[in-house]
Amino acid sequence: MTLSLYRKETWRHYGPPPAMAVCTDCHGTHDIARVSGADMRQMKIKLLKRCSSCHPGASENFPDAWLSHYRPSFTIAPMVFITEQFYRIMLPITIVGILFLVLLDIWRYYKNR
Amino acid sequence: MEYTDQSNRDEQIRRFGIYRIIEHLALIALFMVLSVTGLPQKFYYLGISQSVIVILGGIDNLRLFHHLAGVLFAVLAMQNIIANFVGVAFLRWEPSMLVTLKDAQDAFQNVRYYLGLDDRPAQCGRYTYKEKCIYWLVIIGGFQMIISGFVLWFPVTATQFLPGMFIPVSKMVHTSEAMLIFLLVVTWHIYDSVLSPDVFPLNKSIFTGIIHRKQMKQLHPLEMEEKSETETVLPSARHGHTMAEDHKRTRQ
Repeated sequence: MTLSLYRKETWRHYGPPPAMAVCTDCHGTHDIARVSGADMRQMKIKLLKRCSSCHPGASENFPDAWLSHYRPSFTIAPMVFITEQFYRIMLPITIVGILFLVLLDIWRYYKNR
Repeated sequence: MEYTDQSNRDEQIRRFGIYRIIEHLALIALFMVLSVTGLPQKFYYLGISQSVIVILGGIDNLRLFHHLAGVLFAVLAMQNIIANFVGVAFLRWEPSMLVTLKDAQDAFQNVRYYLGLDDRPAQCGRYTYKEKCIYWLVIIGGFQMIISGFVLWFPVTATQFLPGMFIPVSKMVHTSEAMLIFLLVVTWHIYDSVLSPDVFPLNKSIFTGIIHRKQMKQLHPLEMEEKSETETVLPSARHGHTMAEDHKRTRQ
């Protein structure tokens, strides 16, 4: 999100954007590593090193905050997926329910007049 | 309906003390700052969000304002919890904001009334089930946002103790809970205290501290019944009073 926000801020307003991570910071050129396999641990160490360049003091938990390029699902980032689904259901139900009660209140008021 | 007739001033009742008035004003101010600085971050791709970000001096400035308002909101929420706990535990305040079985019954009765299945609306006490619902939503949702907000503000520190996955979860909770509270406030609370035919154009009691007797009877009939004549008539409200007097005079 931060990256998108900075990109939206044009040079015209604030000059050059601050340093930010882009694809090639992690992947290099034409040597994109596999996300599964025996070198997973090695990849996490490299990722931590990359994260630490902007977030000094980051622990080995920190890279797990990155959801890779996948949308959360029951198999990938299940906690994020369940939270997302909870609010996806709760938000419209709550708001529609409240609007329904408001409309009923108005309707009753005019019926009583 | 509005009660502004000068001859009816003696029919006014003190409902809130200066402490609650200031607390509510602070909450309104912080709610507006948090909304204005938070929504453009969630909907950053909209043109109006970009305009707000530019007006406030860029995304870094916007986040600075958001963080400052968030810290002040945390302080406000904490003092509310502590003050109410101390008041109820040691100063004999009535725990009138606690949710009871009667609130569920009131909500159910009001739905029946709206549908024409009952001939009178719910008879509420000091706080209606709607007011309690908004209050607890702001308190519980507010604490969720405070915790998730600090996780997002200090991700490196947070991941010293928590799994990294808590960062995207916090982001999800923070923005979704904010949307829930924002939408509930602008629909239910604004309707209930501004647009509802019962109070239109505005229920001023939380800003002035006083309410007209007729309106009190209509909105909080059970509380009205409990108040004695000598305790409730306005004179003290006209001549000013201390916060301690407010606490004695009005239940929290």
